[in-house]
Amino acid sequence: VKKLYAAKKILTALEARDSSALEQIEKDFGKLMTNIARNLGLGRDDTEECINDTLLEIWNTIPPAHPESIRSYACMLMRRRSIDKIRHNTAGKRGKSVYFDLVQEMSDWIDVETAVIDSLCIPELLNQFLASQSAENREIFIRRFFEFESISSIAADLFLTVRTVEKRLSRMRQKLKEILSGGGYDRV
Amino acid sequence: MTVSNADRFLDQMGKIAPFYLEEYYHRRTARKENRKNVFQFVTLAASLALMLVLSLFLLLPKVPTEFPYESNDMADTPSTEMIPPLPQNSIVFAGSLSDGKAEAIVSDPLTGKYLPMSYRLGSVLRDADEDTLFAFALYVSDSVDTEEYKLYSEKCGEAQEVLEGIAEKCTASIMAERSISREEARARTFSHPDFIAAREIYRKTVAEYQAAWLSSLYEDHQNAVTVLEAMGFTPVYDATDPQYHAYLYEVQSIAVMAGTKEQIMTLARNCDGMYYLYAAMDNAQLYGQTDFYTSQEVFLPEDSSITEELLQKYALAKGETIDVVINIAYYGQEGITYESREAIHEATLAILGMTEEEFDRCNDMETIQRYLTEKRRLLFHSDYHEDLAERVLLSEELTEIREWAGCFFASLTYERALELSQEYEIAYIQSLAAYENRGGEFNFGEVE
Repeated sequence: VKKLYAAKKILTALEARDSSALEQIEKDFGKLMTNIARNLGLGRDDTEECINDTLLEIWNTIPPAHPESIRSYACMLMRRRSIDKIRHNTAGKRGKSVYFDLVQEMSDWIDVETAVIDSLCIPELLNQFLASQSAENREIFIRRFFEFESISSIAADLFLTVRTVEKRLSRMRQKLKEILSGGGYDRV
Repeated sequence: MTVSNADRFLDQMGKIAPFYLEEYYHRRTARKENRKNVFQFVTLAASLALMLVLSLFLLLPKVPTEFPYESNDMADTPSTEMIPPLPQNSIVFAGSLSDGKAEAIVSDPLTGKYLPMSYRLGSVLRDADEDTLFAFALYVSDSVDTEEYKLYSEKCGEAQEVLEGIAEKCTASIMAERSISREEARARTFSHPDFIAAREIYRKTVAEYQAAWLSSLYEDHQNAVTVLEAMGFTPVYDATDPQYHAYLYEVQSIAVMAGTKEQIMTLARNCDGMYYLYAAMDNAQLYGQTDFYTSQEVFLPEDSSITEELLQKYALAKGETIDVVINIAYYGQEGITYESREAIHEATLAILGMTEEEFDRCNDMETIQRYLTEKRRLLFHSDYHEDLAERVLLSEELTEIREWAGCFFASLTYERALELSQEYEIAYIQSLAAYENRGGEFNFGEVE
């Protein structure tokens, strides 16, 4: 409850153009944001740069944006910045990062035209898929595909084996593929 | 740079609804808090236990203790199909029912000690804020005796016998085909197609048995849920929902309820006396409380006696040693019966040169300790274990000989693990982490 209240205060401060809100965001969610960049294999300087860019984007977009959750919003922007950074750093070549492992994983089962990917309501289908999963599976999925956490780290934190997490991820990918098929994937 | 479809898809995954992200952040924070609380509690409990032991040691007359026979038999209960969702920040208590009335609320997920409720309530609830929602399972100690239940119970027993028979056949055929030890063959039995098919039938039968048990119990005791509801508690789920049967059966409960600290304290004040702690189980414990066919499930690659999970750990270890458990092929404990234990007891007394009567009167701790050591040596063939450890392991590698479980704890490099796995007397090697959290290997929800 305290955190919710604090998050609301941050939003109010941002709308009132109070820059101390940015400090509060960094204080409250800095660790979460750092984790995303670190999981992607970004170094300290790159991580700091991404955090600064994210804070600037928050400042520039709120208002008019009024996100439901400032924490999720910050992490979402940080994720985007971190991905951009890793792509920029490894432009034209495949780097060593969990990101590229995931790209490889995805490439194995996403074999449709670019236009189709863009035309699918993927966020909607994704949320439909998440709704069909247990809370623990959702957590595994988010940690892997949103936060880019390693499978071993997820397994250790949830007291599961690496094999169990891998199996669950594999089943979830299969399920997601089925849902995507229902959403137009098979009409390609 | 070019952006592939996979890249685009991963971009889109960043647009997960904030609700789900919040749910995840909340779960993560709650888990951290719970672990912190449990750690604090365990530290306190350990200090108190140490003080208690010291006090007892100094104050009480020395009496012979019962031999701490530690059975390696697996519990006969089926595993859980899923871990039910509990309110965030929940600390799971167990309440008991007597004559349909909810009586006690106690315990946390990690311990199962018998302690006064006031102590536990004081230590666990003291620092909780007013808004935290606690969940507890309503434990039912009644036996179930309906005709319907008996029928399912019989079917379950039969299915188990069939499964055990098939497991034995599979083990025997694997042993014959591969010329490997019985222990290694047992580990490989889990992936035998005949066993997998039989296990499916067994699981279905067990699910029916659990449903019958819970249905009968719920019918008799659902008024307790109503009473708690009237007191302001919220039902999280109950035995009417089949997806929670495995969990509820495991904790012998008909429902999981949630309430605030104040509601729990009010209920506690209306209970009298001391209450035993029935630990509601957490994820890891539930996985561990399973039968032979599930809890000891080990995944051995075709061409290796090192488990898959350990191979993965070695792949990440970059040449470092890993704490492992080396399971011995010859299982010294097999064949122990009540009669053979009695015979060993008599043989131990003979070694000590004591009569039964002298031993009964003996208060000398040194003699009792010697009795225990000798008896353990006879029971579990300690000489063999020690001899084997000396033959196959370097002294700096060995951490512990756990003869009653038929294994060694050791710290090995990958190369050494490979060497050891070639030994005929070694059944298979797994990581210590997997051994300690053996349920993590498998649960009923993960049927392939």
